[in-house]
Amino acid sequence: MQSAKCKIASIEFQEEVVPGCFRMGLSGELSGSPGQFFHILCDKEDFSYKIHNLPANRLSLKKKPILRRPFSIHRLREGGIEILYKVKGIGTRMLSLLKKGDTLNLLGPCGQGFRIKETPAILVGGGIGVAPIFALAESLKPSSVTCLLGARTKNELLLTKEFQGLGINIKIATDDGSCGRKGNVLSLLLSHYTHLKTIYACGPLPMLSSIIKFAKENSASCQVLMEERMGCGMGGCLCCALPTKTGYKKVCEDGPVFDVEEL
Amino acid sequence: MKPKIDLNIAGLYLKNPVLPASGTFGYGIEYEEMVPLDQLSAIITKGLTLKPREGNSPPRIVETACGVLNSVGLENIGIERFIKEKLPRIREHNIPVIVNIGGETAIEYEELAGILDKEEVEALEVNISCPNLQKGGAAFGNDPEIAGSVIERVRKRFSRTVFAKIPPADNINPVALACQNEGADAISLINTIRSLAIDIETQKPILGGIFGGLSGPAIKPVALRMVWEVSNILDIPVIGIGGIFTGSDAIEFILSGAVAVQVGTANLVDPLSCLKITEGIKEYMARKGIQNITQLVGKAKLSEK
Repeated sequence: MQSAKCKIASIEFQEEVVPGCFRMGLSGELSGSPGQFFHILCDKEDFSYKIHNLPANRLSLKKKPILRRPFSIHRLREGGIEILYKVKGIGTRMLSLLKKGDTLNLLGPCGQGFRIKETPAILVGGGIGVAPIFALAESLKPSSVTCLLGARTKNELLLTKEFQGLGINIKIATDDGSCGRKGNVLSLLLSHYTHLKTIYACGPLPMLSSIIKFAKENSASCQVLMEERMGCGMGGCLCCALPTKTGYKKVCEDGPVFDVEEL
Repeated sequence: MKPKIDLNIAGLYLKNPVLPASGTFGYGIEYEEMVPLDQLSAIITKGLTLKPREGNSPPRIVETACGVLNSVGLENIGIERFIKEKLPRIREHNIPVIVNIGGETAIEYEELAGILDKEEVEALEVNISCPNLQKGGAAFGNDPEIAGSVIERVRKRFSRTVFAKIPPADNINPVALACQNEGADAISLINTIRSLAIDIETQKPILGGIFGGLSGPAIKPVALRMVWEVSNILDIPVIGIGGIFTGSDAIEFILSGAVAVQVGTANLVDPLSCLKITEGIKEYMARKGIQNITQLVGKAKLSEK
């Protein structure tokens, strides 16, 4: 059953970019904007489910994830999207085992994406957080963008070549100093931020927290893509609550991209 | 012949026996673009309280083997805003509205019932089983006397159908009886089971509220047993809830004594679950040559009696 938001897509390719991190191409009637996400059932679309009457308990006995998992749009292409993900648990593990030609059940595009400003941009991506940042980079004029990439080590750095391929100026920081500056991306931000630039960031929570603090102290225009454990992805279950100035907001519906002023 | 699957609970007409469980389908209208809401037998709203509630601190959800733990803590916009902003929009879909109500004191339930009696609301579901509250919630539903007194107060003020949603307590039978005796028209069971998940890396509970309510396929056998037992001792109908994902799951509940079912966790995965499960029930009945769903209610128990 497909509807405006519930879609079936087929896997066009799946490749391991660095150990434990996969890029998957999905084709189907998929659209969206940078910062939005798709809520994916991490198992082959089970067509027998369509007869609504599996033998009792079959669904529950199969060892598979129950809830959907949210994945940011990594690339928007003609006739499909790409996602970039790191294997963290059973959902992403199942996803990583799927092959070209397998089909997936997706809900989306979900949530509010980045609101692109006219001003020069500083993109900040930490770890797997570069996934949605790349979609954003592709939609911006390369000459007005500086991209700051952070990772724990050189081996875990993602997409450096791809960003360079877009003609974007990149700066790198690694925790162990194995590539670029030793330290976190915040130190890069301190060197590259100038007034009137807009910051767009996604990455691990400690990194985002320091960027949010920086943006507030400098009254910088800044948008962050936040994460929270999610249920329905449609604003119905109120599970993905994020504390904001005006009370809890839903990451799935009000976000995942938030203006720092709201936080 | 088209199988007959509609039913009537104390004046509440349901065109099929599959309802979305409270809290798993928002106020319904979140899904209007994706789900033909008029095909549902009714909407059961997110739990509502007199005053808006902020809910518990995140994380509020985590998956476990064959189940999901949640700790939303009854976040809601409060009854006033619900009536003003949501109710008229749900009404546009021409389906019965069942409002799930909660509170920290018995008086709160009574006031809510009084307010909602004046609104276009077909039924109330009295939530005395939320595992995620400091006060009220399951603390009420675990005690037959308090459960009964809450239902009595609601009954006094609300003139139409009243469901009591009770927790999976050890003394579920006396609690269910107390609700029946004080005028409940049906019993919804079970709510989620209070439980815990730990993150061994941070060495802390995963959920912000520490404990959460377990739902999903993991609780289905517990729920089935309770539906069986409670429906044995009651004269009023039982609505079965607990890990229903497919038509066959629903049939199991009906065979165990439920006249209708509610679908919770499955809605989080697929908002069309209620409709698909209804189709599944119809297919099963056609396959077995059953004309009226009432023929199936409690059928698994016939040999026992």
